[in-house]
Amino acid sequence: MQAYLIRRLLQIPIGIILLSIIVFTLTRVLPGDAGEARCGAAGNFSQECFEVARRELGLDKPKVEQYWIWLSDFVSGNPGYSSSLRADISTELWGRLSNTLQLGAMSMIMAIIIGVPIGVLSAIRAGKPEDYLARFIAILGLSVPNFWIATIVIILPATWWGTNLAPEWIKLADNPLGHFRVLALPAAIAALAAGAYIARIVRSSMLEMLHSDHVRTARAKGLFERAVVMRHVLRNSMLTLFTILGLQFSGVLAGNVIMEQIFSIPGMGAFLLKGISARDFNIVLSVSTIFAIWFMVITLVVDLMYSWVDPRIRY
Amino acid sequence: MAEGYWGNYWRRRVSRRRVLAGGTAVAAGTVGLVAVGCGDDDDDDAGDEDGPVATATSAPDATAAATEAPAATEAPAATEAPAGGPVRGGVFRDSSSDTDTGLDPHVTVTAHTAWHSSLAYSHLLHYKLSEDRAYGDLATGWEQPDNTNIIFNLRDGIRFAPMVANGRDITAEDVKFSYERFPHALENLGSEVNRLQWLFIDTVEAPDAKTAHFTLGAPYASAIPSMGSSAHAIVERGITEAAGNDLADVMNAGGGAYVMVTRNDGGVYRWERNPNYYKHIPAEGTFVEDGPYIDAKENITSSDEAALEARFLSGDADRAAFALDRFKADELEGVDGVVVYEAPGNTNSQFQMDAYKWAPHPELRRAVSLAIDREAYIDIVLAGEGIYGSPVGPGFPMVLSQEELRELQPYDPAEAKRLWDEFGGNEVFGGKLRTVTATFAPQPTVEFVSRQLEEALGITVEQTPADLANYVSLATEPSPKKWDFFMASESSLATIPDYNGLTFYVPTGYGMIFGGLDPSSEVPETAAYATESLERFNTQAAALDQEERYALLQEYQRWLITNHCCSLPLPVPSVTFLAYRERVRNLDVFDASLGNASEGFRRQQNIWLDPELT
Repeated sequence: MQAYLIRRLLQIPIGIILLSIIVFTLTRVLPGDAGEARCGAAGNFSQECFEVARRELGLDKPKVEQYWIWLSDFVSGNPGYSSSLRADISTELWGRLSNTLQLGAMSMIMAIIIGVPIGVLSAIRAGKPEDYLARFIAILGLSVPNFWIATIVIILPATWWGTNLAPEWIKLADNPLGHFRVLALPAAIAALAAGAYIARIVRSSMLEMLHSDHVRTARAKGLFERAVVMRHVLRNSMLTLFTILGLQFSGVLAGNVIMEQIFSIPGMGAFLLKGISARDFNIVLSVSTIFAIWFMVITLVVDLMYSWVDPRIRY
Repeated sequence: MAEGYWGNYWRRRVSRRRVLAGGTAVAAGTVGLVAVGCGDDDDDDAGDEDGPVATATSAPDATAAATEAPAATEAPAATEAPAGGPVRGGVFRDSSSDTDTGLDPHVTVTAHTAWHSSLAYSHLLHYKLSEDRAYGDLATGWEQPDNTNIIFNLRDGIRFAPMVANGRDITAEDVKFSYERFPHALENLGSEVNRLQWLFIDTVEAPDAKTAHFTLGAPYASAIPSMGSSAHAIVERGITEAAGNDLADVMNAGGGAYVMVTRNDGGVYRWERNPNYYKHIPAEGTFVEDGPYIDAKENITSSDEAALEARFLSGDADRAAFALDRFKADELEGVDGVVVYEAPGNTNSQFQMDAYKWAPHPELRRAVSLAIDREAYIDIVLAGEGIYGSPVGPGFPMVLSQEELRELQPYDPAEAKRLWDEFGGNEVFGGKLRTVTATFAPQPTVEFVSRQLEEALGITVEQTPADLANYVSLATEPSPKKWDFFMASESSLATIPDYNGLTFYVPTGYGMIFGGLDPSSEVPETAAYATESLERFNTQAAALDQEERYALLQEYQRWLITNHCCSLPLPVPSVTFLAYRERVRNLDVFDASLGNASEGFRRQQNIWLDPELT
């Protein structure tokens, strides 16, 4: 177990460096850079302007040196200067990361609350109307894009009742209740697809368990159906669910880029879009890398939890 | 001329059938099914009842040339005020998709800086495009002893905001410092924009605390309107220097009607009344004796159109900051608490060529112009609500008449093809034209024109998608450029009225920056054309007699259009839609629609909020 853990932990920095090199290379291959974006925003389109801005932003240095400077800054906890913010990225980054994680956590909690009961119901009532209804809802949740639901949820109440469900952003420190109220709707919308996916996974996993030998034995022993389902079916289905939850949490973080944009939430996703549109490569690199770190850590945690959920698994 | 345009505008109505037909075609165009030449302009029903919801009424009647302090003229009608008159107080809540591009008022380009410059800074003058007239802001008046000298007298009681240099008096030295700083504000970026706007001023002197003496390098007909731009904010020297001459992150360095109290707190920007603001006696223009009626203004930013719309519909925002077309305006018309205004459009739209490549080929330029069916463009791209474009925006009094513009820009695809073939278009351009698509030109526009050129000239048009950053890179690269043409459009540049759309056609503006219209070009035809264009531009700018100047500008437009170099004017929308909450009273619809970001409702101080309404 210890060796496995060390091996996995060592893989993380290697993965991060590889990914950041790829993102760095891609951002440099694209036409346009932060220097041009800065000059363009100022209405200046001269080559002289581009050159001055590039020099100020260090974009005239060799690419390897640029990457090394960024990596050193990132490792030191201050991922460099943002040309669009005209300040260090760290001034915004950590606050935004916190908002994104809160939104992601809320989405996941809601997705579990929605998905697990629907999946369980669908599995134990397989082939019955409740199952069809649950599956219909799950497919609907998966097939309708989040951004469309968000747009409809915002526009229709405003049109019909003059109610704005996308209020202005409230900081946690200013008003905790208001802060989470602002996050609740985008989290719920983001949870729909994730919940639908969880419901489908729980259903298929449980159906497999329901037909397994140990469940038949449990029933033969005369256990109540509730005990069979909760103790022998659901718990054994958790292995699959954990895998999915880990991936979903990472997916929700990335997917919330759109939610953050629509609901004006100052999170990592909105930050990433801002970085892309302003050709602010330090933002793009930093946010992508943090997402990658997050993904790797979550995957590791999920892997480690397997052995907790299923003691037969050994590393 | 102006009366003809505005008069025609207000009389003109477009049938719903035509609008729907146009709208359908636009939708079709966006999926690549634009059919060239399918427009029908036979049903232009002058008397159709499906007209605007509410309109402003008066037309501008003055000119850009001002040689002395103007006499009072009748202001254009604003929105109807209820009995009881103006009420002081309230918070105007705007909601916009503005990106925070910094707070330096001398960085003139974005709506974001225009907001701040208009609210937190005072100015020497306030130019109202709708009236074509400048009002004194810090200046009580001005005189022009000759064609190159303007002397401004500053009013008493003008001070900076309390947190700015302890609220000291604003003096002529501050005016001098600010006007001298303006052309250099973007210098560290090598900007051309401010310098071009400033070129006409030679020196600024402050003989005493209340007198600012401007000397012009040469007579300039638009000196006063240009100096009345909100870009010319008066900034405090000490704060500016302490900030390293960069006010991008300085919330307050002026003495405007408001002070900024919140910057980007979760996307919220807020300005509150400046207690040091002067009394404007007597009230004139949009100025109110005791300062603006509204206590505070907020701008809540969001990049999502649906969120902006929801805010407006729910009454959380006072202005519709999302895209408004005829269909959306019709929808909003039925919403409680919302007032929709229809006002004239004042946009420029150009087909920009690379002069390096095109100047030596007048016949090919003419072929391109003949290949574009502008009537169909109006019907399809502009959903039937458009007019012929000219190098001067349609809102300006010196613009050519629609009849003349129509005659000067005929559609003749057969002749276009003949010219293209006879003068070797395919050899010159290799059988294809390359363009850049960017946010400046909507995709239907690019699609439509590209298809027309392909069909008429038998060529291929290759499109390179671009966003702001690589668009800049592509558009401004040295000639010969990777592209052969691109399309651009923007609202009126009210800060520099002469220039306006002309900037795309002259060597001192975007014509040079984008189009490579360089008098020192290595291509003799390009250099010769650029030189002549510059001479014509300078001649009209120096003509202080209004009639003479208009005549020169009109002749200049004819010359530009018939030479097709190296921008072709494209049709522009004839209408603009605005929507505000009903509680917003006395809105100057003309300036809100005609002016660009630096003018309009942001600087209107006599706008007020009805506390009885939401």
